[in-house]
Amino acid sequence: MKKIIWVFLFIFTVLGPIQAQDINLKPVTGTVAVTNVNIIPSPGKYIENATVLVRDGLITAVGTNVSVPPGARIIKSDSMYLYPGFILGMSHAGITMPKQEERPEVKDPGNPPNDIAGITPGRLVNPYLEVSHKSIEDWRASGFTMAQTAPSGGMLPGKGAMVLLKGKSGGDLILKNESFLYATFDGARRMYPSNILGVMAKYRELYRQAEYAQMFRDSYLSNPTGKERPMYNETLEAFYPVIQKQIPILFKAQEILPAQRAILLKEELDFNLVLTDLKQGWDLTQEIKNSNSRVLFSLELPEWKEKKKDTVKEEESSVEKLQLDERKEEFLKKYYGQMGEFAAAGILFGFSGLDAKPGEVQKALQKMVENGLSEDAALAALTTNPASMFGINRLVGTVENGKMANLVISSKPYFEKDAKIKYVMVEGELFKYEEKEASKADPETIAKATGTWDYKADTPDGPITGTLILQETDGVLSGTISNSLTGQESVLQDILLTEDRLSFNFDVVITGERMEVIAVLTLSEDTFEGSLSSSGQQYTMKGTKSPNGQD
Amino acid sequence: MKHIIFTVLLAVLAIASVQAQNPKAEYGAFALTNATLHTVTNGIIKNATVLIRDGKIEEISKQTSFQEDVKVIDCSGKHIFPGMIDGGTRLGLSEVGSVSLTQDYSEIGDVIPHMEALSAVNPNSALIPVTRVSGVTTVLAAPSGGLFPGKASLINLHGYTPKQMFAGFSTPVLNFPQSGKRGWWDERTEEEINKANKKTMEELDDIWQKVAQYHTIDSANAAGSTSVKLDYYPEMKALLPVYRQEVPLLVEVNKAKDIKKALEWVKEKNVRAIFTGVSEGFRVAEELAQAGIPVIVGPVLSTPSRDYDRFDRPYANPGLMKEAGVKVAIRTMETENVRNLPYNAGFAAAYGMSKEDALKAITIVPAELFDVADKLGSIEEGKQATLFVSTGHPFETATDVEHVFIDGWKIPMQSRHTELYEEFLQRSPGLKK
Amino acid sequence: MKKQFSLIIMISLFLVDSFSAQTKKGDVLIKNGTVITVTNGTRENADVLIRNGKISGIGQNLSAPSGVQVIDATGKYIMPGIIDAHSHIALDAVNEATQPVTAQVWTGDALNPLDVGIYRALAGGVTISHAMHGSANAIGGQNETIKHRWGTVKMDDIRMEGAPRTIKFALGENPTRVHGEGSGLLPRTRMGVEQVFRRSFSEAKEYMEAWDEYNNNKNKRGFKGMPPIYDLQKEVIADILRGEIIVHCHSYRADEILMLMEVFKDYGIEKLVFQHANEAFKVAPEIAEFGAMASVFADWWAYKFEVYYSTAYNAAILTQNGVNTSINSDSGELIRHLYHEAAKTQKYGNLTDHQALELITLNPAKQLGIDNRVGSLEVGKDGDVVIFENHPLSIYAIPQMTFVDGVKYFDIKEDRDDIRIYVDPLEEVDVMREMTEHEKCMSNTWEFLNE
Repeated sequence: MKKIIWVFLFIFTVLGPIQAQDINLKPVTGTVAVTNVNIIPSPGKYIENATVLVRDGLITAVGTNVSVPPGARIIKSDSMYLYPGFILGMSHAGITMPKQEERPEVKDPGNPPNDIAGITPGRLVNPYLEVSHKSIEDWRASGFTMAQTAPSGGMLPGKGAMVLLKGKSGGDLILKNESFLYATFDGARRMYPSNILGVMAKYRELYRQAEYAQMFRDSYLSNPTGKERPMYNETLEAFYPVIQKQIPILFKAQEILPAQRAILLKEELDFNLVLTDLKQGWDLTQEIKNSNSRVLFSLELPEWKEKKKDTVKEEESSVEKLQLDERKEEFLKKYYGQMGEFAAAGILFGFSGLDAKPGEVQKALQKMVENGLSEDAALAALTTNPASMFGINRLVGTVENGKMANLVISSKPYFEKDAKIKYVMVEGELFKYEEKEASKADPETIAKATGTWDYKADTPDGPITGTLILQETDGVLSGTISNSLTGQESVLQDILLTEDRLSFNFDVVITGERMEVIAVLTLSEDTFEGSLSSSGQQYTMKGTKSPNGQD
Repeated sequence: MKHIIFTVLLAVLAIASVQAQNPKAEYGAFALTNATLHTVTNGIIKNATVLIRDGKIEEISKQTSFQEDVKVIDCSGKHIFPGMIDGGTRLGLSEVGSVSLTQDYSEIGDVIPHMEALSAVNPNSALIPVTRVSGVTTVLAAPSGGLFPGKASLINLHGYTPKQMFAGFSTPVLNFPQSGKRGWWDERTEEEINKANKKTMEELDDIWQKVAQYHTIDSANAAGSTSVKLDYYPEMKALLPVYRQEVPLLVEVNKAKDIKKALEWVKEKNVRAIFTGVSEGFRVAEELAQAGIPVIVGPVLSTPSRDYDRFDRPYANPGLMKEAGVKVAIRTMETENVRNLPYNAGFAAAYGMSKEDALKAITIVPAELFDVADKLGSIEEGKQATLFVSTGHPFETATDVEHVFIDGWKIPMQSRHTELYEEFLQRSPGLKK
Repeated sequence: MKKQFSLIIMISLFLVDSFSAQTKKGDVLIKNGTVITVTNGTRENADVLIRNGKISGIGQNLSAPSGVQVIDATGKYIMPGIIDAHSHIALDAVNEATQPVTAQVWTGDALNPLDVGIYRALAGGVTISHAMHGSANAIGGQNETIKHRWGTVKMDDIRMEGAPRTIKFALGENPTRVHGEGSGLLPRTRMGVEQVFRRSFSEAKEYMEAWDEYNNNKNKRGFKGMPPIYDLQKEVIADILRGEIIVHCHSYRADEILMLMEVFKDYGIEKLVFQHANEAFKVAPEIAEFGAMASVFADWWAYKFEVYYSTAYNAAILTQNGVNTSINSDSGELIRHLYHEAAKTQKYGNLTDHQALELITLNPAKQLGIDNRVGSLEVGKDGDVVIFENHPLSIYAIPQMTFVDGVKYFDIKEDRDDIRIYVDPLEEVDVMREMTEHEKCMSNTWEFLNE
């Protein structure tokens, strides 16, 4: 097994850290011309060697005969490929949720207050949306210019918004607020509704209650005389636009059973459903089509590791093991092949990235294309489909005159293996990406980093301590980190070392949930300083090299 | 809470005292005549007589007339089998499954091989009569828990003190370090599991090194060749007989990978081992056979350990191992339903094991494994008179067990279950008082 | 209200209709076996013909219509599919253990057709099981009766279309441990359990009356009233009072069994099946008089205090006292050999072959209200059939083929490795259970238990 981990690490360290950098060019003029570029203005269309002219955030001309006004900034994009800006159907981009109490005190677990039972459909994104959130930058660097985003936590986390992935303040980002209701099947811990049984019943009850409440409110508003005043109920009111089909419910349903449950509720209660972050949809084509549901496929699918022969341990290469591996492979094909089937069946779908890593998205999309999704359909799922699903197709989704200047420019056709995103434009604002050399740190820097470090990170709940061990083989760094909180030792991933900056990721499992932690450190001679961050929380971290740990 | 437990305890005690007023077992000379004798070791003998005297099978013959003091029991049309032996249970160590204060099989501590299950066996448990009237006469009462949870003891299901019940075999249990997930609820990652497993293996090797040292000093002491003193170290003392191969070590191990590792370990340490559980034995049957390690497998009536295993793996497991040449005994790992031992063997027989081998797996094989084959496990002259008379083969549920003898004692065919049946089949008063 | 409700029913009927149209129906002729009909005796060398999912003929020398597969069952036994009146297989969640009354929840929402437990049950000849809510709450959730149509990924495919609604109740240690001891809320005792029922029934009655009043007046001129607050829990309990739901009550002790029958008499509820009911034998005459039924274990006892004074002769005593009795599993293990569990009643109480087989076929069918469809081999009933090698009550009995609606879902000759429907492509570590997981009844409750 050790061997497998090693190979895994190796792949990571070699391929991983070619990171794109986001360089924000301040515009001198609001007029920009992208010239000599191959344009895919919408799925299935192609204009070779053309120009896109952008003025004050809008596309004003597209074609081969566009005359560029003097003084316009010219973006030479010779032999590059230009696409409409990608739209992410659902995410938590830009959202930082307040830390929740581990175990809130509840007297009667059968009747907890809505807000601690995860029932907060009235919550909006505004207080949680931050433009400086790293995810905004990351998604943008991956070609996404717009995204829907929503608060997280509980069965009804709140209402989401369609946001632009740029701006100066959280409010700036919002293009359309309250654009959907976000729903999950997550139960509340140790209180009602605690699992799928209670959650389903709660949806039915809330929906029916909301229907009655709305009915009575309407009758009260039309003639209040002699009637008892209906009490304001934030939870039920949040359902009114859903009942009136003004907005859809985005139901997080990754696996096949939750997806069926969402459809079951839709058919019973009659609302507009978008199956969100779907991962296992291949057996539900008919059901989804018949129920007229929309789909947002997850961009986080099981990682398709290319097999290396020497990773298969001799003792495990039995017939049984081979059969099992074959079945795993068969299912990987289903995960990546389903999009093609959906496209063929004429089901409208886009993508979501609830727990996807933006940097891995292109690889996942290429895998889908490899497994039967046409490039046109893939592009539609990134652009025109979400635009029409969420009613903004007259604003965005294609490269045409009058639309918002949301563009992606790629070094090669986007779905080709080593295509790199060079520019992203969001409402006329240009972001340039330069490949950073996969810098191999010099031996001296490596020597500074390797060894055993004792560290301490300060959290509001007290300090976490542990040991960080870094070692080097053939110029490649690897290592482990322990922590006093869970007592686990985790393997470091994505280790990146440049001069005095060291960064890496690792996973910890807390109460059964896997969390990714990112460390960014600045090295001095025998000490380092930096930060640990995980799910929106950041802690300072300091370490010292332990002298006897060097072996 | 405390109050409730106390009440429960009182009630349990009350039952125990009621039980003591049951009819007593009879001792003496008995002749079981005209029976079909399933000797297990010497085939089937028809129209045979078993003469029981002084606790032993004195004679197997065709005789039909006896001295005056012999009580004759006509067994025409009936069958005699040796008492069935369950190679792994908690019988006597637990009374009520959910009441922890009635449970004495798991002590605090990870390495406590000196814990004696026999000391905690409750001879007055209501579970014992329920078990023995089904023909299960002898069971291994085993502790469970950490790495070395204590010593298991073989007991006969009759007697008023643990000593009276003791069937002459006691040995430590080792729960071999596990490398699999413990169940669907086990959230540990592969790394965490491997790490924990590695750590326990190191611990185990360390313990074995200490036993070796203890043995060296103890032997030198015995020979008077050293002045190094041995302090009170009950853990080592308990493991010493295993180290010296005087007794086998019961190694609980289930997963195929772990079984392989355990095979290496016992070979390396030169331990005389019996593997128990062995739910994935079918995957490594050849290796087990080659190593000559006997197994006590079970429960046979259990679900496959992996989702992708065939449905019948647990049923077929004993037969597949036997076929590969492994010596196989069967256990239930039950407490209150040790009486289902013949059905565990029966399912093994239905799904591939021969009927004869399945019967041996709950009679002579465990007797051999536990070094008591001179007393138990078959119907042979000179062995203890621990046997039962039935209307048919004990694997079939339609079979009734009519008489049970343990060490020559004729056991009353009565238990909580039969008493309630007699009282309530036609309740009096019925609906109206 | 009524209108809306009947609309829901209509919608669900429509849905039911569309399921049944979708689930597979088979045709098969099984020839020359010993046919155990359960209701009409046992016939040697007889055939069973199934057309379009229903039994269309039982007799000798039936001929196969063209295109119908013929199976030779010479020397084998043909019996109705086994029915398990208490199971938790194919469920993603069993208990909503957060409150003592959860009538609003429904296991039909938590169905998991991918559970390999379904296939393993088929390998034991079980074609129908009662996928029950757990026993943490005095009034637990509604249950779903499922047909073991293995191989589908669709929740709807395994629902037994048209089966009556049932609900789980629970008495004794489980609800008092979870709520009284665990959460410090009523009920902590059997006294409290009784009052949970009385309060729930009384409040549901008031709720019904409030809705009736609203519905009767809402269209009257000048009506100013507000509708009562919609309460799904009370809606369901009201349906119990209306006699639309069969109550299946987890119970052990004789006193609590009597208590529940008294409460039901007071509220006019009649449809009642006691589950487990280890001490039912002590009050068999009272149960028979009430007309309740019992679904019990063959030999489980002493796993908790309230089953310490019980006997494996329970099923026999109940049967001899005229109580409709079934043997259930409540376990993914026992469900694989219910025929063997039923056979134990011959050891414990000398039941006849016929009586013993009824315990796992016709009797549980009656308890689930589906005996008009299944539970025996009769023309017109569903083609749910098992073929056994050796008599089903023998220890050597081995199910060979299992059919649901005439479709073969298990064939021992075609059994293979890895029958999982879905595979996790990232799974690396083998799950290796230490022990068979029994008593799923208390799944999802550990957080509430003090131990």
